[in-house]
This record gives sequence, C-alpha cells and structure tokens, in this order.
Amino acid sequence: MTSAAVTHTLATLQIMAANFLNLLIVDDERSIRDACREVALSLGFIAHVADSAEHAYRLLQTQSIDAILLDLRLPGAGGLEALRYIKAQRPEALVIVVTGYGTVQSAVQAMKHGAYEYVTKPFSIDELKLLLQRVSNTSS
Amino acid sequence: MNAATPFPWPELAAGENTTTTFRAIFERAPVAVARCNPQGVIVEMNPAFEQTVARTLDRDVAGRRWLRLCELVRPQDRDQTEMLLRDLLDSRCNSFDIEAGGAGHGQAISRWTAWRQPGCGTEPDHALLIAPQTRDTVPAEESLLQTQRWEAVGRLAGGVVHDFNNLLTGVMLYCDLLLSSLDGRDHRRRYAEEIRSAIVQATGLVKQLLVFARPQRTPARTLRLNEIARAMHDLLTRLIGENIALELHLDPELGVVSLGQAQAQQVLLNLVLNARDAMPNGGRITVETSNCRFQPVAGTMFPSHFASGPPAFPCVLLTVSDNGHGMDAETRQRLFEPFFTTKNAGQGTGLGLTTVRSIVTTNRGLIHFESEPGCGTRVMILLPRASQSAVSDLLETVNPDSGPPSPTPIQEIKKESLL
Repeated sequence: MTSAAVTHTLATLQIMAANFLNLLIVDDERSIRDACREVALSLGFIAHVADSAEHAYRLLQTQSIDAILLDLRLPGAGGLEALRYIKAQRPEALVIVVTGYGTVQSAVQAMKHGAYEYVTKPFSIDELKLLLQRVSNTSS
Repeated sequence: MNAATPFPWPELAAGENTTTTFRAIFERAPVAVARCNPQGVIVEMNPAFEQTVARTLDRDVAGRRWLRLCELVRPQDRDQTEMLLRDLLDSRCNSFDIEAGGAGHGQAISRWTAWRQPGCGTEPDHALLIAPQTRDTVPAEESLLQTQRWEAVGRLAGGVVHDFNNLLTGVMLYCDLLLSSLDGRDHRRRYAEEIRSAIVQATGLVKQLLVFARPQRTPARTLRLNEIARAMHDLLTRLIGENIALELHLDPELGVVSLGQAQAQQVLLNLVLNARDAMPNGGRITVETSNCRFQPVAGTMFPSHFASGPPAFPCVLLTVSDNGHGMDAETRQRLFEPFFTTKNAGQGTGLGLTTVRSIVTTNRGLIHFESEPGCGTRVMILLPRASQSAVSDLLETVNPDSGPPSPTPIQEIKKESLL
C-alpha cells in the first residue's frame, strides 16, 4: 500500500471513529463489564471499561467519552460521588446509572445529580440495548 | 386480699350438684390442671393441660389420655422429679416446681407447680399439677432478641443480595448473549431458556429479599384496601384453585391507608397463598376489612407523657382467615423468622411472612396471628388511617425508623385492645 493510500485509509477511519460514540462502562464485576462491552460493540459503540471510579476518572482524562454506564455501588468512591464528579468534568456526557438495590430513592438521587437514565440489576440485554439506542439517538 | 375479709362465695343453690359444678370449673379453667398418682402417672387432666402438653410434647405422647409426669420434663431432670414427687407424697415437702417442655423440642419452657392433694377415704394422696397456660407468652426480652436476630439476618441478606444480584446480572447478560448467538432451530436454545427462566425466578427471590432486608417507606400515597382486594379477587381465585372459596367482606365505609399499591398487593397475595397452602383438601378463605380503633396498652408502648393513658387511634383492620390446619406453637413462634417455612423444599422461600411483617411495620402498622392446630388461622393487620396525621406521629413513636424496633407488633395487639 502506498503512503498516500495509508493516509487515506487512516483519514477514513478517523471519520468513521468520529461517528462512533464512546461508551465508558464502570462496574467492579468483570462479567458485567465484559458482557455490556460486547453488547455495546454490537451496537457500534466504542467501548471502554473501568473497574473503579478512580479508573474511570483516569480514562475521562485521556478519552473522549460520550456516554457512561455507571454502577452506583462501586469500591472506593461511591457511585453517586462518581456521578457528581463525572458531571462536573463532562457535563455533556450521558450517564446511565445502574442500581443494584432497585430502590426508587437511589435512582431519584442519581437523576437529581444529572443522570440521563437508570437501570436496575439484573437487567437483560434487551433493556441494555434499548438504553444504548436511546443514548445513540440523543447524541446524534 | 385481706385475710380477715371473707370472699363472698355465692351460696350453692339447693340441690345443685357440687361435683358437677367443680367438674365444670376444672374443665373450663384457663389454667392447666392435672392429677398425678403416686406412681407418677397423670390420671386426669383438663383441656387447658392437654393443650399445653400438646405444645410441649411429641404428638404421639400428647395423643394419649395419660402420660407419665417424667415425660413432661427434660431427661436429665427425670430422677429429680421422681424424687420430688416421692417427697411430696410422703409429706416431706408441701409443693415443688418443675420445668416442662424443654426436652429438646425447641418449645417454650413452662413452669409447673405440684401440690399434695389428700386422698378421699382409701384413696392415696395425689399430686395436683397447675401451670399458667403458656399460649403466646414469649417473654418480652426474648421477643426483642428475636427481632434483633431478624434484623441481623436482614443486614446480612442485604449484603449478600448485592453480590448475588451482581452475579445474576452477569449470568443474565451472558445467557441473553448465548440465546442471541444460537439459531432459532438449535436444540441448545432450550437449555439456555431453562437457565434464563431460573434467572427470572432468582430475580424474584432477590426482590423479595430486598423488601425484607431494606424495607422502604413508601412515598406518601393513600389507597383503599377494598379496591386492592376487589382488583385482586380474580387473580387470587385462580391461584387458590377450585377447592377453596374466597369470600370478601369489605366495609363500604373503609378509611384510606398510606401504603404502596405493590406492597398492599404483596401483603394480600402472601396471606391468601399461605391460607391456600394450609388447606390442601379445600376450604374457605375470608378477606375482611373494617374500620376500628386501636387502644395501645398503657405504659407498654408509649412514653409516659400521656397523663391519662395513650389515646386510641383510628385504624383500618384487614383480616385474612382460613379454616385450614392451623399452626402449632413452634410454627407460631417462628412465623416471621426469615427462611422459616413449613412447606416442602422448593415450594416456599420462608420469606413471605417476613416480607409481610416488614411491609406492615415499615408502614407503622401492627400484625397479629391467631391460630391453633386444626382450628384455622386468622391474620389481623392494623394500619393507621391515612387522614389522621396525629396517628402517624404517634405510631412513629411505636415503630421509629431508627433504633431497635419495638417488639410490640406481635405482642401488643390483643383482641381486647381492638375497640
């Protein structure tokens, strides 16, 4: 491949990448992170994963994150604290909070702090797909 | 009573048979009375005694018309009991106390007192055994301990539920991924669908655990229990089957209560399904609602600032009764214990009544059971009428959100307290 062709391919890829949404999945449970990542990839998201709030903060510094799937119960900084920090850093990011307790209260708290949507564990792939499609429609 | 003042015994009517009168007193006495012969065999007992013995001894023993005194006590106490009985009948002592019912059955221990009863004519002296009836008399501190134990289990369950829920989420997501990767005709889809159906069941269990582990005070919303009962009638009728009749006796003037709709449905569903399970051969379940006033027992539930005793609260009473097999003392005592079930393995989670109790007490209500083996069960749930803000404030004192919960919900609501 000529250098011109390589440059063209890279430019095309960059244009394509610009159209993809970057989703950050924050959950301390590996199986949930991986399964959500797989679903996000199938819907055309670029998926990043973090196992703690601190890890998520580091990725926010280096990646252009459009949407975040955030477990409200995280080791270290709690999910609500993480939500406040994320919204302060990236007010435009759409945050879907994942609540393990299924309580209306924690979801209401999260929505007050700027969450875009919430989902209760355990959730199905259909629920997750629906939410990610809504994120996709809102962002485009 | 002053010894100098004679008790005003009524004169017996002329011709009245004193034996019959005293027989009637013996039969109907609310205390357990029995006679024990010098050989240590209980030769006569009144119904209250039978009832108490039935609670403290195995069924085969209780089913007999006679039993040995030693069978009432713990194996290690038998020699001493025999010795005390000999001492009593030989006039070396006037009475003795024994503890019955602790023979490893897990039931409450009852204390019996034995007195010497002089024999008539040639009849030898007998021992007369008397015990207060032990029905539903769990000591307050024991009840508090039980409540604290349930709370601890609740906290434990809350922690486990989070982890379990996490695991369940992973399993559900991967199961869905597996299903979406399998062709519609692939026979392995059936396996994956079985896994998914188990996950859905586990999810239901988790939700139930959550209600018990972290009871939620529902947002202030008033509802009419009559409407809930009417709306659920068809569903409940289907669930209980053809052999059981479901009757609704709803007070048209029923007041409103502050309770979540889903919670009210859960309470009714659990109580009716329990009633159904108590009637494998069919029967009748009655759901009844009425307005009433609850008079707390002075000095037990409320601070002393009510100089003239605590006021009565307007309440709504929901009663679910059945004519099923009823419950024995052990079951009654463990009713609200998390994971305690009398159903066969796989048929009951042991969380139904725990959940009901949690919902009722979180909403400042009280719950009370009346049941005897073979006599059916009556569950009474008392909820404050929503329009009475003063009631809420006062009942807040009874069931505060923080601090150890009051042991009152089961103990204090007695029939005589319901005006």
